[in-house]
Amino acid sequence: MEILLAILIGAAFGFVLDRVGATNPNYIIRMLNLSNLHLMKTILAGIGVASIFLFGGLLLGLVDPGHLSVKTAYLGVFIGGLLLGLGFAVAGYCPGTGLTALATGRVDALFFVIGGLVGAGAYMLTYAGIAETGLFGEHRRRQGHARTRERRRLPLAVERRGRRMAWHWYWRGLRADRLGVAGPDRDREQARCAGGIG
Amino acid sequence: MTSWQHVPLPWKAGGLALGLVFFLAVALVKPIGVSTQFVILDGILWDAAVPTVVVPSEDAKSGYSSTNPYLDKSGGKYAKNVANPLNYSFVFVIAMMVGAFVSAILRGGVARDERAMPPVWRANFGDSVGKRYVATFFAGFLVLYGARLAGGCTSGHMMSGMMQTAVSGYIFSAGAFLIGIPAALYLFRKEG
Repeated sequence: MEILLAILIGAAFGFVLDRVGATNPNYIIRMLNLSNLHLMKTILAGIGVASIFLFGGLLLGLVDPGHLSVKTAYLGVFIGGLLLGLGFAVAGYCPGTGLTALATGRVDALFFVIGGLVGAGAYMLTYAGIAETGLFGEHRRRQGHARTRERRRLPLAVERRGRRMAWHWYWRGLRADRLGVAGPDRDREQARCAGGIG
Repeated sequence: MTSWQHVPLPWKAGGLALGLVFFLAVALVKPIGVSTQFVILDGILWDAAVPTVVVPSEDAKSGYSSTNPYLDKSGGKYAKNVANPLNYSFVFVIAMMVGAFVSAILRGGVARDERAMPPVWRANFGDSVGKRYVATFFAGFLVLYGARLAGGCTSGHMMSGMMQTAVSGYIFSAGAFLIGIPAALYLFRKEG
């Protein structure tokens, strides 16, 4: 069933990409040098239409929210975008339009796709090194979390509640300090504060 | 030629068609993405040459592991797709190429003098076919390296991401156009 959908939606996507002119690098380059914004309008209209249908469908309960897949934002997203932007401008192809342009018989697209396979291969080989540099803020943070939790041997919910309590008593203690609450009251506040953190 | 066969379609009709396809993909299966499949094809070729690159593994979440850290990440998710190319995402991309091929045939194909390079390239860099092929090769390298670093491309980040109002989609698009527009303005001063 899923394979059938892959064939149907994939074929429709390729057909439409060709029909809106996205397989033609001339339109892409002229979109980027701002001399013909036709394709830009098509893309923005497409995002708008898809968004309206998607959120409408979600509101009406017709679309399974489990199908959504939001990618993480990390520094590499921006740097990767910059690299892609340069190649996008030089060739007039992106991964999807490069493959579809090749299918329509464009020979320069073949060289783009071969370059792309080499580029993707280079990424596979350098991935481990890049992961070390912290370009994947997300990746490291998640690892860090896992490590912390393991060390403390506390379920995340307990950890969160503890942190909330600590803050609560910390602020209460601070306020008591500022108000100059004296005598037993102040001592009691501070004792409770310490108890909260402990 | 009837009006629906006019290429490119008017932006309103084109946007509607493109938007519907992206919506249907999410509604029925998952958001459209293309650039990962370059990695999967690399993996398939690599595994064909060196069969030990991807192997079944009981420890891995996906049931497959790889000696390559990238194929092995997220519990061997990519390794599994390399081992089983008949999966949704890979078939999707092949079908996408077939769809574009059919569309091109129906509109009479690409003009012979445009197959090597678009007119705007010819107007700025001349007729040299070799120059265009070398440039697109390196551009392809940059585009896919960048797309993998970003975790998605124009389809996955820009279209699918922005339609879901994903922050990552906006960050990616900002990066792509921040370089793409000045680069195109600088490289292509003459109109094709």
